[in-house]
Amino acid sequence: MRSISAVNRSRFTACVMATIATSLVLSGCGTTDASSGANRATREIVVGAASDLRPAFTKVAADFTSASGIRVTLSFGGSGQLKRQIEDGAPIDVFASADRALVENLVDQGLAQQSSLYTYGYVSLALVTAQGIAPASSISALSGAEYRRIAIANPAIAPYGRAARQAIDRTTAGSEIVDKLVLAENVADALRLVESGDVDAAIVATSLTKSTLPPFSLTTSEVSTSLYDAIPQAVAITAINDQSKLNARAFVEFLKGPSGKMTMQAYGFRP
Amino acid sequence: MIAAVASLSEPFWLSLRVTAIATVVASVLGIGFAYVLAKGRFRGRSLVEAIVTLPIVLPPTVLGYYLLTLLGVRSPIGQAFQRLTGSALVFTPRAAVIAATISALPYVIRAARAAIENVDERCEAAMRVAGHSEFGVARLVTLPLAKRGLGAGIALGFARALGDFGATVMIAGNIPGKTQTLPIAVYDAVQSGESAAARNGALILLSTAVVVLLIVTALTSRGNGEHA
Repeated sequence: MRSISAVNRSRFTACVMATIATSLVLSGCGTTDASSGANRATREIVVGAASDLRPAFTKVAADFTSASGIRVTLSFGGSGQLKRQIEDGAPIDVFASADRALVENLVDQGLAQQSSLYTYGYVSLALVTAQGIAPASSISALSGAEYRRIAIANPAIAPYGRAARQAIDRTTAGSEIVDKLVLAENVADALRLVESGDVDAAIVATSLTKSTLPPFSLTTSEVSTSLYDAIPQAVAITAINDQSKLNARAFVEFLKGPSGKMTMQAYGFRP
Repeated sequence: MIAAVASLSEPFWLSLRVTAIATVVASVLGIGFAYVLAKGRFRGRSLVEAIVTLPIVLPPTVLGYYLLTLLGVRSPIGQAFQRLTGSALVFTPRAAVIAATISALPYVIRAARAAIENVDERCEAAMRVAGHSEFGVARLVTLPLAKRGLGAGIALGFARALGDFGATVMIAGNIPGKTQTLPIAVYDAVQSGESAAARNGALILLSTAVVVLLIVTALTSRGNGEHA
């Protein structure tokens, strides 16, 4: 009986090993890794971009692809989140952060190219009011009773959240506004909350309010730049293999070039 | 509307492929574990059971965190994998398969274990008397008699694998065409205000879940009838 169950157990172990091996092979085939398959890598890059860049980079990437033939896969997320993913080995070839400091940190770690570092803009805040709510023209107006809940990105992880919190703290009625804050995961999430009417107002990225993709109809006003410190925003190459580095370089050069610059300016980014 | 459907086709097929592989792996491993847990008498059985059940009760972010720590590029396993294959394990479709498998596993194990324990031990004893090995008994009697419960477990595991978000987004990321599964595409669509894509993606996931639960109910209720 003992020997039978021993055979049984070893068969079970063998079965388990075979399954794991098969699944790893299967899940690898038919899918593309940016790091493997030279043929695909010659025509494709992955750009990890901060969520405020969604409208602008969707346009830049489309223009770049039609000009160069290099396909761009855009992966949007919080800047801190994307940085962590790159540190953990994510196949991201270009990192466009909402905060230059995060890119510089990757350069210090040897995970991004110093020579490719390019400041494409500065954090710019806009105040958005939900539909059916009296438009707020300045942050100090947010202390009014009609604004019950106000969304900003989480200051601990999002550059736009940090700037928004600073602007609130520098406003006279700041402490009253702080009590009404709802912290969103990132700046795109803050905008979503005000679009759905779940909050009455939000402090978001100017670039997101210039989007023409879903017709943007909410009332917005610029937040005075004197209320928050200038946060530079930068892009750098994080590609590992040589072909991806070349493609990534082409993308960064395109972003710096006339077409890229024009698009970025249309969305409120100025180097 | 058409653009929204087109943007969902990639995540849809990726999800289907990831879920199919994860379901197969979770089923084989899960039924194996369930059998050992139901029949085996060994020290530490409760501990093994607790560990394999963990993914049900752990927040997916905690599961994702530990998987990233265990399999990431700085971990011994991640580095060994990179040396062997030349590519990282995390932030690839493989990572999505791993997250989905681990999320599905406890559901398969729980349902399969209950089904295996429900099989009349006299049938199994009779087979042993007739000279069959433990493996033969399992293959010819226990597993065939438990097949409804096993089916229910596999169906639940499939649904859980298809729906995984938290662990997947942490170890596989959100890279369209590579690791952006349907639940992540829904999240991405909500964030970017693409309401049609969000609505359609959510509808696909909702209807799949309803169908799976109907299958599970059919399997388990008729199964109980037989045993009564």
